[in-house]
Amino acid sequence: MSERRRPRIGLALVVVLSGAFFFLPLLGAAKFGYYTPIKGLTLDPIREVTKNPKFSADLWLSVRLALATTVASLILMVPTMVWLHLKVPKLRPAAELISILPYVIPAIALVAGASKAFHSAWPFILVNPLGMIPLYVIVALPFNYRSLDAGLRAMDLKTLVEASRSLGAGWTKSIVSVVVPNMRTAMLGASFLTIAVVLGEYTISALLLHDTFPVFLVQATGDNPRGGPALSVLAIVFTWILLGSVSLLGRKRKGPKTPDLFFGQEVKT
Amino acid sequence: MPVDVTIVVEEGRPVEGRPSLPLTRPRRSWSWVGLLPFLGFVLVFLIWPTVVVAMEAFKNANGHTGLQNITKSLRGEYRRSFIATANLSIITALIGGVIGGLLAYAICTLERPRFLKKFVTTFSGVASQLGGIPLAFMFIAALGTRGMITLLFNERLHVNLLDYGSIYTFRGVVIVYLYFQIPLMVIVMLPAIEGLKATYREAAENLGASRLRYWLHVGLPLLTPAAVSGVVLLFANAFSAYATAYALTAGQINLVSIQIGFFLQGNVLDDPALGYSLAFWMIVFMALAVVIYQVLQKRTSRWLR
Repeated sequence: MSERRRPRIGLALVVVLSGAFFFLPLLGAAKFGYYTPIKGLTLDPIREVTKNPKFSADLWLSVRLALATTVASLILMVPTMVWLHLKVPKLRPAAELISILPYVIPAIALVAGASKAFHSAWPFILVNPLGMIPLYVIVALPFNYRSLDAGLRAMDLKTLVEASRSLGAGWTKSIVSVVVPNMRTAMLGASFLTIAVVLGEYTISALLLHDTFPVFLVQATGDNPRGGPALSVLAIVFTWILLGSVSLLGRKRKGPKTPDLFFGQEVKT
Repeated sequence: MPVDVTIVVEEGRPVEGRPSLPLTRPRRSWSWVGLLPFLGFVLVFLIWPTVVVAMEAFKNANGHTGLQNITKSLRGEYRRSFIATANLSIITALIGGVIGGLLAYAICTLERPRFLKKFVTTFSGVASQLGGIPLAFMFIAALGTRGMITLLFNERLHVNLLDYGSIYTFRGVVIVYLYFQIPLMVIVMLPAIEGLKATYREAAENLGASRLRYWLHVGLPLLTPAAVSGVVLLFANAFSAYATAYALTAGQINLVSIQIGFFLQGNVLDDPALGYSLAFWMIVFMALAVVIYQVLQKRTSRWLR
């Protein structure tokens, strides 16, 4: 018995220490941003940082980018993924390879190439803040691919479409009113991931000189050293909630699992 | 349902991934045309920029084609930045790999508290994607010069954490990177550890193997491909990161990604094209890491069926 007990204590220690590593810095930062010895609990730093007129403008740009990237990703990826699974399943390994390319070509390299490539051809992609949307769709591509792929694997696509077709529905109707409703969870998961990715994206926007929320965070912390961390704590908690709900969405699936390169969703194989 | 069908052949060994007999007569298929919008989009917004990086990488300072920059970008200061980036990636991959692996094993082994496994799994999914600016500022507020935890250690324990290295330097970046590296390792290792069936251990014990022998000859060999592929993934993850290190050190750390950033910001005037050579090498190293990861992952998933 004692032989079995020992490693358990060691393992419990691993869990406890990891817990401390993951939560103490957040608590420390929260105290740093929301507490002063004189005033006690205070919202002054965050009030001051959000009073900055650039705050709402920059946050609004990030929100618009997040929503537009989400919509654009779904418009591009949902038909592609349905087509891939239904018509050309043989090409799935190739498509999956393409879907991990944005991981191989990091944002910093992508923005280097894009700023040169589009400089003369399509300068609006670089000049207009919303021109970054296609680049953000690329950055979010692995997440969208994985999430939608998992959703499509989890349903019996072929039978669904055959049933719908034999009941007289055309291709369009089968896709729109049979397949897509069954992909709602996967689409929601993909959307949340895209939103989280875009709201946190710094590299591309900073180097293309567009002021998004993370860029604001860096600039504002210079003037207001407590406001920055106060806002960061909020941003982190918001991201936790957003991404946590993704994994709760994907909870129901069962079966053998393989790890997911991009997000801890369990993918049915 | 999976489209891949497992067929049992004569020897009774399953062959993976081979589709069942074709249902339609093989004929020239045009159905790939439906993928054209996707392929076109990727071509324009990912492949084209990448090709431009590669083309610019093989240009000299005077704009003519040549190997001047592609070799210069691996020498001197740039060589040091590649080495520092590789060091950072290796150190965080190994530490993150060991702690993440232990944590994954711990939550699979400990039965109580009940919510532990679910919680850690969900949290790992979230934390592995966290990074960038807010993470850097969180650590500065907690462990920076005037950070809360730094002050706490100073006042209560009379330990000056800054003696052990400041959060704004290489060591600090290591600590902050672990915040997303450890959870990523947990995600990679969980399926492999769950795949270690109790029957393997029982079989080994019935044959008289001790605990140590079981781990040396059964457990660890089964986990090795997953562990190695996880470490490679962590390496790639750290190698390409930019925002976190930039915000933490205010650009004062010599990493490849930060060097590329300087070139793009126009801070390096003598040879602006050199940034593309750095980006090119970065893509090459990332590609190598991801290929190794994919190959090893294929090996791992064999045992998970």
